[in-house]
Amino acid sequence: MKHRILTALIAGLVGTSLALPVAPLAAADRGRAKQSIKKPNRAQPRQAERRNLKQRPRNRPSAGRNPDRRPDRGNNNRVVAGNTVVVNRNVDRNYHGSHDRGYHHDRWDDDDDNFFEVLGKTAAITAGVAGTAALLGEIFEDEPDDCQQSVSHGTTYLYCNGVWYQPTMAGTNMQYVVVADPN
Amino acid sequence: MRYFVLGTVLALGSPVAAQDSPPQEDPAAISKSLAIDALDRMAAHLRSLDSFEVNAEVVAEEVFTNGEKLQFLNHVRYVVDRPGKLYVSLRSDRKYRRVYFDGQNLTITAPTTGYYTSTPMTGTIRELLDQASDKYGIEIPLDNLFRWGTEDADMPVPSDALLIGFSQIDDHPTDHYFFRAEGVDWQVWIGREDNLPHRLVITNTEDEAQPVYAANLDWTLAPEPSASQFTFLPTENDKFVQLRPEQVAAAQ
Repeated sequence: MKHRILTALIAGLVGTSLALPVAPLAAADRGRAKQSIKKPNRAQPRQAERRNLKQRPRNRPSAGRNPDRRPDRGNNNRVVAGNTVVVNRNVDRNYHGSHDRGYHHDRWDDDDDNFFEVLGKTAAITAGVAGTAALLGEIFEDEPDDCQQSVSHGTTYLYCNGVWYQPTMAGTNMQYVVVADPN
Repeated sequence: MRYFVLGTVLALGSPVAAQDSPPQEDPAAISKSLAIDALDRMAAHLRSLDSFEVNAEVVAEEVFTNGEKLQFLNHVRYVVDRPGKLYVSLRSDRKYRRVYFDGQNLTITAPTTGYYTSTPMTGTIRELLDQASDKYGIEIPLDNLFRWGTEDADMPVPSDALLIGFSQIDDHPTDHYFFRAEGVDWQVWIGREDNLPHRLVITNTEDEAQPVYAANLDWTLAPEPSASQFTFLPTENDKFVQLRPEQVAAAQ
């Protein structure tokens, strides 16, 4: 009898501990060091998740420091209905050595502090290259290659491989937004 | 009669004293309050500085999905002229930005590519930090240097605080303090002679791997910056781009 009560008590305790609310991981600011001392939950929480060190960008989850503010991350080279937004940077411009694993970033550039970018630079060559149809509003964090610069009404645009981009600043990061012909 | 009064006072007084004394003599509580007082004094001193320059050598850690923890180095430089002028340069191996605030406009430049953006913004440095963060998602590292000692809802209240002890940082004898709050631990090395933070370590305790942001701070007081320090004058090679509002960037 005593034993049974004890068992019931233990079961009750275990049950209680299992039922305890688990802090939702998604609400945590994980991965990066905090660069200033702040309360974890702000009115507009900007939480982050850990990034994957080895995964190629095509499979990479949209995990920037602040995925809510960097929604395009991981969608570079996305193929939509046979059309591809070509972001075929010339990797040699910024990198030496093998690019295969992407750990040869030995030169300084200005591509944000995302060192995965070398993986993203593999050209998104698909059947759609010749007649690339970029999606208006699509955002890229790498500056496209082979661009001609154009200024319209005081705003800078880039014309690269048949696609118009508007360089913008989001936070302190550069973003290149696909736009209609500004002229 | 006099003895009676005295006796009554003693009788009334002693239980009250007995109730009050334990928390006052709790070493942990005393230690905590001393550490918080030291932080407050340093904050008040920071508030009193009209003009200063700080150079920070930073190590920032990032933890990845499989637990790999990497360190990245960067350099942050602030030039401050209160109430409303601020220059910040942020330089890492992969990113270089300069931030100018002259009390009228906020300008951010990417010196290597020549892109820059600018938007009207007025107010004090503290108001600038709030607006830049809320409207545009611009987060300036180590902004505690400008928030300490002010009423700030974002500043956590330490649940624990402790003086660790003496520490020499270059030419500066300092006292090393530890503070704990929800989701964040931090350590400050406060100069014994100049009452300035000479090192700051921020530990993210929301991630079990606890990535750390560690900065050694080199101070120049009264640098007498020129007015041009805080205003960006574009050359013909600089290209204006738009600054995307926070909600636009978030909505897409």
